[in-house]
Amino acid sequence: MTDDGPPTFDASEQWRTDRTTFQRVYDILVGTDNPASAQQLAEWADCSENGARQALQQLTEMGIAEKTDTRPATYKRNTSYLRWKRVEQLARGHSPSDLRARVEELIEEDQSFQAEYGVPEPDAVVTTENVVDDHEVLHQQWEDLSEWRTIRRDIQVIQQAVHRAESMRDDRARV
Amino acid sequence: MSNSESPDDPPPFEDAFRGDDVEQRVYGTVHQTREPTTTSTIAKLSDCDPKTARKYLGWFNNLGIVTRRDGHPETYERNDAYFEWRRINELAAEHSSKELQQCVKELITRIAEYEDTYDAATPAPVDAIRASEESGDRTIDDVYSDLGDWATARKERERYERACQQRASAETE
Repeated sequence: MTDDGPPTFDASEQWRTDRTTFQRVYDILVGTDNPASAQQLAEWADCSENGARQALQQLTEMGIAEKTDTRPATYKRNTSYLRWKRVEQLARGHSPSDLRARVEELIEEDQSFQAEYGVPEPDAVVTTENVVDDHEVLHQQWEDLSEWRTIRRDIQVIQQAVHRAESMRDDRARV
Repeated sequence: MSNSESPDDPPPFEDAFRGDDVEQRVYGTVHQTREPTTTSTIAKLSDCDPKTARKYLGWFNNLGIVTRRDGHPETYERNDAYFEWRRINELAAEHSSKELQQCVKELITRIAEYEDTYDAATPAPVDAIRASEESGDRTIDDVYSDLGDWATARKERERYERACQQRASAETE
């Protein structure tokens, strides 16, 4: 998917018939990186502009979309919602102990990156762009840093999922 | 939506789906559930067939808005954690990190005062009658009002802390 292009499934006839307008606008919205106008989103979601506006208003009220104050107004996905949903889904699908084990694994991976680069976090790595002329080394470093940042984010998300899974378990025990 | 008028509904989310298509009616119905409810009951209340209700319930389950409970028959209920997250999301959207941190600080001070006054870590174990007698100048009503405010402050502190975290992680992404 390109930066501001629609998700790839927009060509699917199945998607058009199986999903409601609201669902198609949701699919497009969460799959789009940059803010887009209702008109643009309507085109990608294959619905009327009015239908898209109504869905976007609903999505904004639900905290799934964020509306900008620009003219015309544009909409983008709320990354906080997607993060919350990820925590919720992890907590639903896994036991607290499985999640804790996964956090342990990720912490180990984090530590080995720390050891390898000799700094405590990915953003502290001094890029060797000016020093190293070897593209392969440089490329490997970019990949490492991107993976390391993902590990950092995942640790946070999965730790939240541990708490959520524990509170779900407690709720069930009370029923 | 015939059942959207009951007075004890939390107001702000009621209007998320307006109009009268089935998807909106199912959302309206499930939004008001306070206990696990079967698909057929939700279908009846939403004036649609169970198959359609199940389709939309599955979708709302994926969004995290409702919780599906496996069983015979399977049931659905609104996911309170989602609505709690919504409040936190609104706090994070309406306030700067600095404002949120200031609110947390104020709440911590307020909570610490209650902890001192009643010599307890939470309002739960405090005996209102005894606390009133021992204080001399606080009526039982005063104590109850303190305990209620204390419990609210504890809940609010958690909300504001989560809003702070949410802002921080949104900024790093």
